[in-house]
Amino acid sequence: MKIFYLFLFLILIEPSVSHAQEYSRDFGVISKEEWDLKTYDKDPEAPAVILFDQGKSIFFDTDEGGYDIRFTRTKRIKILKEAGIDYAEIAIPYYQDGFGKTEEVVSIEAYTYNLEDGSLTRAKLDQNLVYEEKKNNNWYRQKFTFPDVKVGSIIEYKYVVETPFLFNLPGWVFQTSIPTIFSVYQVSMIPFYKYAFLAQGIKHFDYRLSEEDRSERTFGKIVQNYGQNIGSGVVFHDLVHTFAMKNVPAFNDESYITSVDDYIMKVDFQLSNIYYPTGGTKEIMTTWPGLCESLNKHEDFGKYVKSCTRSAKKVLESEIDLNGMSQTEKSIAIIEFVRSHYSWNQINSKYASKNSKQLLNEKSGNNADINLYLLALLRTAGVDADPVIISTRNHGKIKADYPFEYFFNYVVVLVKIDNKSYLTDGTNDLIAYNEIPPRCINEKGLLVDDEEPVWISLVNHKNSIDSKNIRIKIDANHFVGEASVSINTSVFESFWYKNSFQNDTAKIREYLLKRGFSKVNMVSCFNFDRNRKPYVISFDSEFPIEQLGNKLVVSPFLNFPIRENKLKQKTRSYPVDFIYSKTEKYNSIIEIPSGYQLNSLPDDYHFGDDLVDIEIKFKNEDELIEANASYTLKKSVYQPNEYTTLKHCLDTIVKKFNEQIVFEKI
Amino acid sequence: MITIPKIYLSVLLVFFGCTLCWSQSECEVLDYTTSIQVKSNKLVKKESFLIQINDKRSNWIADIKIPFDKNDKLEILEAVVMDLNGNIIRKLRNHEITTRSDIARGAFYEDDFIKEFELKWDAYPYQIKYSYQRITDRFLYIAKWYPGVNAKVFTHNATLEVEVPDGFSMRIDTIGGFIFREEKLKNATRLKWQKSDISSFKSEYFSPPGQETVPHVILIPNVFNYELKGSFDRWQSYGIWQDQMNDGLDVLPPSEQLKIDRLTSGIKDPKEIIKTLYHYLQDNTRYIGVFVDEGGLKPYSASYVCENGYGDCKALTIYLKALLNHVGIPSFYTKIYSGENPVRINQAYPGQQFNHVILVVPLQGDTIWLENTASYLPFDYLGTFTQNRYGLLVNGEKSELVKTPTLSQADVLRTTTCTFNLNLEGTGTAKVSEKLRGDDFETCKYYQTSRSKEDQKNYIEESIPLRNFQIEDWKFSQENRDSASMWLDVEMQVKDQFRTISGMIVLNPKTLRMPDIKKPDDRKSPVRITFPINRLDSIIYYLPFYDDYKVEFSKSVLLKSDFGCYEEHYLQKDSALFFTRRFQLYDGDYPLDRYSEIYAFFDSIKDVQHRSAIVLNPN
Repeated sequence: MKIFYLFLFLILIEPSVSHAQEYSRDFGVISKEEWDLKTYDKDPEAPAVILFDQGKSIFFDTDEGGYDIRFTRTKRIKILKEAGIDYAEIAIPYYQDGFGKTEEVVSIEAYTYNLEDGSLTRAKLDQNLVYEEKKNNNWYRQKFTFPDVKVGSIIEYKYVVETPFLFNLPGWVFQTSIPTIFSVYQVSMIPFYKYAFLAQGIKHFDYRLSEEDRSERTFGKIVQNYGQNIGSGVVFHDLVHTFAMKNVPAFNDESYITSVDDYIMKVDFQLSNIYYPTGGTKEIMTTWPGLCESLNKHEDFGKYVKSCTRSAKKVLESEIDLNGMSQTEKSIAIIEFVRSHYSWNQINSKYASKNSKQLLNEKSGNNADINLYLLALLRTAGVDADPVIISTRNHGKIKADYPFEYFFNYVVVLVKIDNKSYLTDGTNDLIAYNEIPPRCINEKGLLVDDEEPVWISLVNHKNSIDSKNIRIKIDANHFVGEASVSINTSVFESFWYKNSFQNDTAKIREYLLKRGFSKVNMVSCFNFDRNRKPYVISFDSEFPIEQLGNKLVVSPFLNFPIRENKLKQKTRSYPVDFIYSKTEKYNSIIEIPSGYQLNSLPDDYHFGDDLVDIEIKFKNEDELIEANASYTLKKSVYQPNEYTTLKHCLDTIVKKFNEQIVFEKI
Repeated sequence: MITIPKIYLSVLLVFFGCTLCWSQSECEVLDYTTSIQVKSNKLVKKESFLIQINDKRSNWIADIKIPFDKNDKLEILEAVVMDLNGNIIRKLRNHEITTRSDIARGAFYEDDFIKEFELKWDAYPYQIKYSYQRITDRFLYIAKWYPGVNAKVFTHNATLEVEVPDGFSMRIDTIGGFIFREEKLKNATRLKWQKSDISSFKSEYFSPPGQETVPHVILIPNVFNYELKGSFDRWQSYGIWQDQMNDGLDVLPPSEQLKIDRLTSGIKDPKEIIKTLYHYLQDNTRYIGVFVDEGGLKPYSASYVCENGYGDCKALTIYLKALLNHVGIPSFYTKIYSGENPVRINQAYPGQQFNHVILVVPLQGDTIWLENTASYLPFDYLGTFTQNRYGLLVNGEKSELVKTPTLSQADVLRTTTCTFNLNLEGTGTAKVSEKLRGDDFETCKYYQTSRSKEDQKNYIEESIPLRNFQIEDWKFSQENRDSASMWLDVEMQVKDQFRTISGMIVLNPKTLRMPDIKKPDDRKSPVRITFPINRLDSIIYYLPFYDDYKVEFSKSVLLKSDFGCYEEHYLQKDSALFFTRRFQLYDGDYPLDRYSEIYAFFDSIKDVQHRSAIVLNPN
């Protein structure tokens, strides 16, 4: 029955696939329809369109009697507009592990087709014009650009990459920044390696089939006796999986998202089991605990931590005095020690890149070098700590349903003291010991523990505050306002200021002079190096006062409130991710200038729900006006269905926080 | 009663137990020494650095990057971390050095590389010392040396030592008050330039490029051997060398010759022929920068461009030259320094002072200037990228410096009309209609032809100085592909376009964005304005309700100075309120002591703009 269903499925699907589009899918064969295509009717503005993109991966026999993967890709693009010509520049990345194993770009073929004076011309890529770029010690790229490309050209190329890294079975991306008419990926699996696969952003494939290849393959020695194999080898058939999508729209970037990678349509594979033809199985990945276990045994993870322990003992004896400290104090001392002694080289990894001796000697390393060493120090000092693997924001989200190792690219540390715990990171000393930097805040991380998988939320629930105290005096004769201002910031708001200005008062002054002040003096900043205290900036300033007839107009919060709502689209298909929740507060006291009286105050305003709080109050007593305003964006991430409310609230904030006070000449 | 002390109290609280931050020099170059030896057509150059790092925030300077050319022999001689007593704490190991490709922005491929390593330590202050030697056998400069190692960092002491064999002649171009010494050795001479206390450098608005003003020693050999032997004796001799480098490259393959014959048959006017071929170049080639071997100075041939349909500025220029050769029109490969704010050619020192190539076609009574890397620009248009500067026209013995045409006020005039139709809430529509020339034309044309619709929208959103608008539609248009101007028409929905303040309606015409220039006390460089600015803006408000109000305008203004002028006028006519504004900035060079006048000019414009308003008082 099963076979019957499969067969039926084939009959139903096949014809629709072959009739749905008129374009050729054969390398080197261009159909008339492709020439006639002047704009892509489903996206008339598209600068270029991918006519087809076809990938194939097979396991082929190596001379050593094992298997490598051969990945072949053929792709054809039609250039529709001048802006599409950039798509004629191609880079094929490949990897070398540094220990003699390397991927190899085996061949590249590329052609440009043009219609000249009614006849078809074909220009071939000159192999001498393929260049090799070394990105770093592991990653290289072969680069070329198509010859003779202009608007109207059809370009197509085919390349083959062979990889010995069976862990890296190539995945497939169906969606790019230009539309794709047809995209198909075919993987021929052999029975010795099992992969788990994950499709993202795809509700259903336009074509999906898994079937056994007819041709017979063998492994090892086959000896036939009366039709029975009595040798030690195995006879097998490839299992061919096909995934196809048609008419895939271009992916358009939106602001406030984590990473494009989280939303484009793609499939990924992860090696899960090896079945040895000689019998026996090796489980590579099946469960989260399995993944944790293998990390703990890994040379550059668990074993690295162990190897750090020896030097950790020495450091604790000689360099950090933890005497008489509570557990929390100990952990703080160790974290700050690591932060001030080791420099992060900006590289993200879940694995250490050097041994502990090198780290100690070179004083610099990737985040895993530093954080796993930090972990060793904490544990050695008797503080309960565990690694948490995460995916940084630019690396995309983790799907907890699939125990895929490649989801993770970073490791932080969870410290547990008296039933309380906090996350920490040794790569940045501008944030408190119990905070991780915003680039790391991406939903959740996995506690590397041998037991049940434990997911740790990375969201920081401390509200980040930017609070401004303003005191305004007005020189009515010269239409000049004088303001003393102090800006008091906490958590990630202070992180933003610190990153922008360091502790450089000249930079702060320059910034303020761009914010509508005509003079800025006495700038000072406090607590730059004290990462648990609020970062404070204070200064005196002058700014022009607007005069309208016999009236003076003053913005109570100066030019600080946001002037424009950045959320401009009418609707939103992805969440709006602000990374952390935030409060902005103003307290302003304005002295009514002598010879003037208050003409009008803006209205008070209050709004509050689960998403946003907004509050503005004005008060006039004698010669003083006090204006208090604040808003809180309560969530770090707003879902698309909350977009309209959020947008409306931001509109209100822009409007209300910029309303002005009017004084009138007596 | 509101208590005043509240705010002071909070400030005090904040002070209590705080550490005050201040800016300090966190790293400093203690010594920078370059020694160069000219040895039998080889240049052996050794550079050593001694740098002190005073805190963790400045240890970025311990990320060492050494760029090198594939053909250079580069050897790292020493790299150590030291304490303040000069004791070595750590030595760099070989495995810590990594190498990667170094491909400049805009280039597709170059065979240049970078060696990288880190010299970090964890106890501050500490010092790092490193040196490397580079041997080159192809060079056009003996030295192009700036004693300030890093523009951001103070250098205490810098020395350049150059040893040249007897009989070796070179020109010396130097500014910056060096202590100079000359020492006679056996068969050679050692020259030494030394300078102390070199401050950091920050580029400023409207100023010449740093290369012109910061201390430097530039040594140019009289003769050189860079693939071919050449001489920097005169500009002519350098032109001759370039001619020899280009020799034989400007020939078209036969198939291409046929095409060109067909393309130009029947056209008589030489200018029309040149234009036809220029369009052909624009429509059939694109810019791809591949720099390998002598890639900086030797063009790829015309046939390379024919085969591939692409090339860099040199290749595309040679190709166009070949096209013109074929139809018998002489043209000249002309080397130039490109960019809106170019380093000016120092005419007294013939040398490789260029970074770009254009083609110059002399016609009777007219010279045609051709930029060959931009398919979107008009024929015979140089624009801000190459206008108003000297270039070396390569023509054998007759090679000479020639000056490119200058963008005039008329060439850069940008007129903008913005028409608002608004209701009592300040909501309605706005239409912006612009005629763009000069810099704005070039950018807009680029967006129109080479960028996606999404990018175009973002660009227009950025360039419209309004808030609270939503672009509904836009249109680019141009009279023909060779006109040096274009129109941009934008339709928008707008809201909150005016303020209502105690019954009054206040309309503030959106200010022109003025350059954000520093106060005179902070200014260090003289002033250079490389091309003029000329803007004429009109804002028209249609307010159906304005009969219910009494209209008050700010005063008309006319500001005039040696540097430019600014004016604003208001008018009430029929059913609309008009605001017009003109702003002109002239190009020119001015000494530092006139900077305060320029600043005052901009300041008074800012002041005027701040006050410009139309106020509607209820009747």
